[in-house]
Amino acid sequence: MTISYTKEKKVGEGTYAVVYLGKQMPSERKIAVKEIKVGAFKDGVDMSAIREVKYLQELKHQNVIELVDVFDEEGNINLVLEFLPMDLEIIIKDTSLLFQPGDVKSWMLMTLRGLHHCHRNSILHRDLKPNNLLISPDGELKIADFGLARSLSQPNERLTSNVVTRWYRAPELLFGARHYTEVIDVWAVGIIFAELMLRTPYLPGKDDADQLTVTFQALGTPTEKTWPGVSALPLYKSLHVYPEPSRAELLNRFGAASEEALNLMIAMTRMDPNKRCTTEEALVCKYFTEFPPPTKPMNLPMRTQKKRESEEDYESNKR
Amino acid sequence: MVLLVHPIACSHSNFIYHLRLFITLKHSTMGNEFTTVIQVSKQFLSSEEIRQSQESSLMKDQQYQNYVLKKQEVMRFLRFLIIRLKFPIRVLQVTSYLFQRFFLFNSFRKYSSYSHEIAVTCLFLSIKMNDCIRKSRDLILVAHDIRLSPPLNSDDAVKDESDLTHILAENKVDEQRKKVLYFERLILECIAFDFRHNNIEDYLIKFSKTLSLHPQMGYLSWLISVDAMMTEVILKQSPHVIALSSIVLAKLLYPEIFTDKTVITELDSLDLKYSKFYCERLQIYESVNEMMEFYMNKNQLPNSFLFDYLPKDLKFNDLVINLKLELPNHFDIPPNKRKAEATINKDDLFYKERDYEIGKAGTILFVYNND
Repeated sequence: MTISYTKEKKVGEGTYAVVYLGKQMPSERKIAVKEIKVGAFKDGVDMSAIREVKYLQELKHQNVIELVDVFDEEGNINLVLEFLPMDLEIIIKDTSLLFQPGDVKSWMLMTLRGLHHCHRNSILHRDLKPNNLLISPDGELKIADFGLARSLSQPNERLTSNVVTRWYRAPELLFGARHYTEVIDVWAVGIIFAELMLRTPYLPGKDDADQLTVTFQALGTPTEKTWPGVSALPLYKSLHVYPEPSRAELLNRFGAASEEALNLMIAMTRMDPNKRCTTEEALVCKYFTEFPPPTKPMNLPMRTQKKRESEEDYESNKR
Repeated sequence: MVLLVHPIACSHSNFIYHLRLFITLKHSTMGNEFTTVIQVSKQFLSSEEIRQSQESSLMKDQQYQNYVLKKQEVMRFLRFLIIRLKFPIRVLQVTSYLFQRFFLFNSFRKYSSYSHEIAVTCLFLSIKMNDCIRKSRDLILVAHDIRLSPPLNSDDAVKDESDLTHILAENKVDEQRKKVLYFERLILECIAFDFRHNNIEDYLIKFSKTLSLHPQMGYLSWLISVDAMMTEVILKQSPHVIALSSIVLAKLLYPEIFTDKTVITELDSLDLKYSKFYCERLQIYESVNEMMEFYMNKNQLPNSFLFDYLPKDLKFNDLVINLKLELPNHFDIPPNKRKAEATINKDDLFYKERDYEIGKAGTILFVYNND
């Protein structure tokens, strides 16, 4: 018996890789093959590719995309990844799907479990957004795209603040902080949580300056009093001070949220990173144990095959 | 398109490791013959495996001594290059690992004249893996300057990187860059695109905190760990073993070199339980032994970070030789147990000189074992 991989259809192309759909034979397991363009760059193998391979080699978790195999073919490096046909962004945008509170809880739980696994291995994802939370055919959510990931820095190391897609960028990054921790990912999950409830992006800044305004309009402008040390951050300049929203205001904004859901969201979107909760604290919060229980992955709302305009179309959207 | 792969390659188990590390399969489809290779990424090798690999890369051409001398020269060059480019010294760990690994699987006779280009490539890959990204051009320009005007010592190497005495013409930079990218491809295949690595320094910091080491002891251990990066220990032991071995060696050396009574009293009560740090006695013994060999070689000492820190009148060689004689007793290891037992399949293509044509025409499947 010989096992083989097939590349059947090109479904997307990024800056450093081309993605194909294929099968592992004879099991007929569907897989995705990411072919990395080794020779295409002026400076050799792209750092994003190195990051992606490195961290996926290290991480094995139900809620993190699986790196099935790596092979070198005709001078190109190919990553065999598990086949994940859907992502959370598509599901959020599909207005024909109705979300129950247990559904949102289930997606949040799977995201936090996967992220906790990254963080306890000292890995920051740095690009969490609904588009990078892929869904398997049986409804399991898996964190993908580790092209911006890195390990937790040493205290004297300066990091780039130019990470995370703008709408999900934590305030310390917006202020240009060169030292930050894993809670930048927790902020992104908090914003995704809000998006799951609102069914529309929570903080859609048009540009970097607008992102600051949108973020502080929604959650209040941080001051030295609420976030000691904030004024020392590079991009903290004379800001318009918006008041912090009251609990009643937040309840009004998220009509469907329970008290505990709101508590979790507030804890994940605290301005001061030192006060923001960790994945561990989030996972043990009451929200996940109160009624209703999280929906089983296989019962979560899914786009059916019929609803897809074309497979190619949604795949190219995703990548 | 169909890529044929041998069935055992898809089970990530130690089973593969015990069978073979490198398997070549020939297939024929519609009259066309193509090759599939399964290569296990084995990050750490035993002394016997290293000797076996060097058999084809160095020994058969009587190149071992030349390699040792060249390695010393390259490590010195890398040290200055890292200092001048203001990279954290920990990037030396992966750089040295890649350089030594390259010459396990590639003929030294064939590539020795490119040693500096290969070293620059290793540094270039190391900085990518350590998130300290810089353009290859910057490395090439400074490397050229250091090669033509080598600094006298580390202090002499500290200067602005734009302060170049020898400037390489743009067409030459481009030529060098092509070489770097060519060697990058070869190195990536040699390491099976396996980018997993942990920093010795990170473990050392954690162990030092756990053991509440005196800062002087912490610094001494750190200097030893940086020196260890230049030895073959880096190919054999995982970073946590090297970190603990550095502390063990520092504990042995400190009372022989320094006189601070507070530190020496603290050392007496220092409880180094190897199992607490997931290390085995024999691993620590082998690592410390090898690090001592590095210090016993007078030619290596100018490369040593520790040596710069020692009192100038200290007869360090003699001191290390005497300590080394006592080492087996110190570790309480009987003579027949002083080397880890390992049986290897000498015919395994893994230990032979690497053939890069396979990757160009066929398929190589990399298997990441967990040992």
